[in-house]
Amino acid sequence: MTFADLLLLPLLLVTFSTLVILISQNWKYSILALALQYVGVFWLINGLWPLGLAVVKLVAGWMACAVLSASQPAEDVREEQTSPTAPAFRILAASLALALVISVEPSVEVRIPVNRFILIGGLLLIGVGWLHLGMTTRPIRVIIGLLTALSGFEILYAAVETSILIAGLQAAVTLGLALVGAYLIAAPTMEETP
Amino acid sequence: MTAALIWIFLPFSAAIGLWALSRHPVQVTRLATLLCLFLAAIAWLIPIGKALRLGPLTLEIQPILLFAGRRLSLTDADRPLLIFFFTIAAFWFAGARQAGSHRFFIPYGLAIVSFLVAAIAVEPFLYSALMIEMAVLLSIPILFPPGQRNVGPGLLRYLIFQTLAMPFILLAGWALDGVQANPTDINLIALASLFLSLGFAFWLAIFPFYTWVPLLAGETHPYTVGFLYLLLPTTSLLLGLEFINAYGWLRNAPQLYLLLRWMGALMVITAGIWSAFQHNAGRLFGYALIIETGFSLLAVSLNSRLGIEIFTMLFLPRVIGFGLWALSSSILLRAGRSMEFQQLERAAEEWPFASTGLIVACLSLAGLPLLAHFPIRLVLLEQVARQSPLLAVWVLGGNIGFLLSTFRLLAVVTGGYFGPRQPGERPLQITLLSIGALSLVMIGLLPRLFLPMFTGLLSAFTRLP
Repeated sequence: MTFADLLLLPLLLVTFSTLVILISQNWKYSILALALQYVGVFWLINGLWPLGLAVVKLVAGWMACAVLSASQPAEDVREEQTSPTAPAFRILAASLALALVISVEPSVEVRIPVNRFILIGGLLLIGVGWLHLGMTTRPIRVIIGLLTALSGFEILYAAVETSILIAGLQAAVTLGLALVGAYLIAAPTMEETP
Repeated sequence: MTAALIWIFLPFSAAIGLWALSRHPVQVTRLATLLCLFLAAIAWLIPIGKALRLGPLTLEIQPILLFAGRRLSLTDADRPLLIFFFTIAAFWFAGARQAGSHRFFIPYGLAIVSFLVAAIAVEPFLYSALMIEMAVLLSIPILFPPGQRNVGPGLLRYLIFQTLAMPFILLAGWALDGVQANPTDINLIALASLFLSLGFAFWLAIFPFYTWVPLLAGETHPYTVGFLYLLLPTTSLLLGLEFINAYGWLRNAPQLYLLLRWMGALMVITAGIWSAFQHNAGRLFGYALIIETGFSLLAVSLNSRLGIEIFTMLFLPRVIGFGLWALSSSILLRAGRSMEFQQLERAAEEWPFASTGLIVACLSLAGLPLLAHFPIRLVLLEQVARQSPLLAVWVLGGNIGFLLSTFRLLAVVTGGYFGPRQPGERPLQITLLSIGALSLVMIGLLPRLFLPMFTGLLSAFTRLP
């Protein structure tokens, strides 16, 4: 049994990390969960690609997490006050997304015949990423939602395309999004020099 | 020397250099304008892929550059596109100082242009999705310059929708390859069509994904927004034509043209209705873009040579209309007025040229007779009416909604007494505004002279009707 064969573990890791991202209102936990999510993404993609190529996703993802965390203000780790029922509602919404993913996975498997854990992982990230985008208007949250959705897509795309250039450009987009996120947070405090 | 080095890597390198010089805006404006004019001029004068003898020297621009195993191909047929992109960039950069745009506008704008040219040039063209995404990411610092207080919802939605387009286009590329290998697989054709439709719907802000367009136009600097609203949808539209040109099954599917017709009509109708209730000239501009994209889709939906020619003829009035609108709005904004109708009340007293420019641009975009958009929209509506008369009436209704809002804007900016006052605009601003407004009138009066200028763009699409 190889590292790539244990695909249930990264699926659980991805599920747990997306849930934390969806529920947490503390940016430190969210970015930590995002970093953990990239470990899961790397592991799932390693089931399809050689290790050397799959590790690009991990490195780019972790760099994105580092850029995002470096741009956060030191104080005020809690982002916004939400009602006590909000986490329950978000868990319910994520459960619905998971149910949808499990129901559509067999039809996706017809077109993309790879391990079902890989497909579920990819579809789950897309679903929860979109859910996240629909629930927030804060720049950092939007960037995390976009990175989550794009990670899911990258897993699915890795199953159909093995191109070094595409992997490189996708890594550039991941880093670019993180830089944009950092910029959107920092720009209001930057010096105005028209 | 290869074409990609001249028209992609050179402007991108220049953008980095200009970014370093961005604290000297006068020099940056001059250098960027001259560079873009130079690039447009060599695209006009020097054929690509053919040896040109200059005395003892032989000059040849190679059309293909191999880059990381992929091709960046700019052939002789792409020259009109290059002239188009770099002339627009020069036109926009030349007015940047007068419009009071941020010092980052020119360096980032030039980098965006180079990525958009790369999107057109890259083969296989599914890679263009990644190039456009890069251009979108580069556009954020100019839409939300340093020092601005709050990130608006329009900017975030713009980022979300444009980013979500990328995966769909990449997946469409994979599905299209599958269809090429197995053209009888109906399910795969449906899948490819779905991915392609969603990708282009996000890119072009097609109904119902266009909510960010008026929001972004209302919350950011009009000059920057005008530049992006002109270049990004134009690139996406041209890429859409390239997809139709490249895939025979797509080109021959009647459902495609039906879908384009309905989407185009819905965009014009809904945007026209919403614009009739607007109280913000910035957002009105956003609706103008939606209407313009709608008309472009309607033109492609005709599935005829005339339709494709109309598609290209819509470009010139759009470029001048958007340019005039952006410059006029920027001057009014610099004068301390916002784009809210209340703030524009009696603006024509102090700023007669900027107000005239704004109104003429809006009236032209609304398709008023004797202005630039009218002749081509008339032909387009005639053609749509031949295929679907009721739809043409609805489209006309949507257009009238925008026209009503423009009349309201006219009443706002001119309301009140006009005494003899000194205009607030500077002489160069007056000259630029006058040239823009007169151009729209001249094109409206002499459409046969000016409108076919852009039909050369079609040389890159050899398989279209």
